[in-house]
Amino acid sequence: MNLEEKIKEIGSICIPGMRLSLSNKDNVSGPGTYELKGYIYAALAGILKTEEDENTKANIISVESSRTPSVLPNTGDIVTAKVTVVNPRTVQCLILCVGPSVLVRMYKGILKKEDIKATEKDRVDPYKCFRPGDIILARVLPMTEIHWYQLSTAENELGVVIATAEGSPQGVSMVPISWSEMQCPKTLVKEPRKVARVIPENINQSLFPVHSKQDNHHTDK
Amino acid sequence: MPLDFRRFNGPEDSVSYKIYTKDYLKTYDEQLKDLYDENGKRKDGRELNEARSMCMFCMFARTDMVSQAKGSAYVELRKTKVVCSVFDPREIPHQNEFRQLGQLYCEVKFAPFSCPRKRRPYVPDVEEKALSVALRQALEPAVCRHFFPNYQIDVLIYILEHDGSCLAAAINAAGLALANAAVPMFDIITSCSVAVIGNKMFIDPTEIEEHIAKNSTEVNHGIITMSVLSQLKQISDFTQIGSMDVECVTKVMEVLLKECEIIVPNIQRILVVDVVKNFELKKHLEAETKKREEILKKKMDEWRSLLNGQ
Repeated sequence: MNLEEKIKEIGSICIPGMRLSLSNKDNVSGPGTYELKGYIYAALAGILKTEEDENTKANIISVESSRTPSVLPNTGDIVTAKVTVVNPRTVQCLILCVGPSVLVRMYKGILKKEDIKATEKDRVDPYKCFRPGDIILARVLPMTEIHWYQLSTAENELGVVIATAEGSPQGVSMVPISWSEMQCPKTLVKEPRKVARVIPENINQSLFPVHSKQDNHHTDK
Repeated sequence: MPLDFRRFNGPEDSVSYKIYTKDYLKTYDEQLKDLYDENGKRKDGRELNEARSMCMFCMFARTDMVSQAKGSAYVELRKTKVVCSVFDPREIPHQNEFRQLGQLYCEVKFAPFSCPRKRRPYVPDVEEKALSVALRQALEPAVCRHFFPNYQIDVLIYILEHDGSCLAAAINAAGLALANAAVPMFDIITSCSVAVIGNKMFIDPTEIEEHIAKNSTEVNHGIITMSVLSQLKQISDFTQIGSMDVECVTKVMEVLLKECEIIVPNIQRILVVDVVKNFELKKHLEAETKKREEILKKKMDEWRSLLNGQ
């Protein structure tokens, strides 16, 4: 039967409540599964995946569903958010993605003034780090308020990823020129932002080769 | 029921045509005799202990019916038709305290044309609210609520045609829709109902059987709906309308446990088909993106060669 062939091609399909394995040192429950009375059961309808964890050498058993599971951002996750309001004390934003998975519904996040930078926390002007409409990468802090996620960009790798300059046509995103400034390629306007230390994926590596080790040597000198 | 002013209601002293039909004037005994004939078969040809989900063409269920919802399901038990949609977690309005477990917001709505006896108002009435509460009680043990604390998941049920066993069909549909929406669940949930009239048990009752069971004056009468978590072998909800003695209830419970187990393979099959379909769709999309990336790459190479040539 056609369906049976397709099932064989996909691998092991799980539905909620299926018992997957024993839960012990060698088998750990991952996302999409739950543990009950010494066994690991599936929690989603999807495909079974086993990965080996490098540190503990245990099998992480997880169920991958083709839809983004209805879970919320957890403490410590890196999220992609769009800035909506910038105040002298806080920055409000909408969380769009958690890690690599895009959310269907956007959740609200808030970034406090003290969590924007790692150094010089008090003498920070949020308006010089973010503007409404910027896309930022941030880390989720432990929740203190009920419906707002506390975020933090106090790391080099976090901050503004995509931003448009004021007065520039929409769709033209600025290029970073330092860790605190970005420039629009069309209007050549410079604006202050807290830039994230990310290698953008759309840079073609053969045209603009990125030698990260060489850069480090330069800065050391 | 307040008059609907958008419809033409007729003069004030007009009366429903139904009081002139033969069915209205039947006594209770005649109605009861109508339900089943000498061979023990019911009006729609089933046996007394045959559920609609058992016959091949009787239970139809499919997921992915509503495109705007994260997950959805449509369940048809012969004439009873139920649509369920599930949405992503959203903030609980008017909440002040921190709660460790998420909530389920269930809403059951009958379509105005769904019931054979009367027209349903647009505002949720008492029966719908009772069904919503019963549905919520049945679904709460099945969903992993600790994954979305302080948020609620909306489960919305719309009953298109009511021919008995609405709550059972609604619970089945909600279980399928939640699994379709990738909401983490402890187990799949199945449900079935039984109408008891005197010493007769009608499994999976139709609307007429339910109506007579509710209005009967015998010692044992009523409707019991039960929902079961199949793999974990736990009963998640038990709803009873009517009056029954203990032996009757225990007998009915055993019958219902068996019936709920029989539905399980159908539901499993539907979920597997759903996973396969989504997998195929994903493969198709990935193939498409690869094709487009190749085209873009070719163009990049072209431009680069032009640049270098210059």
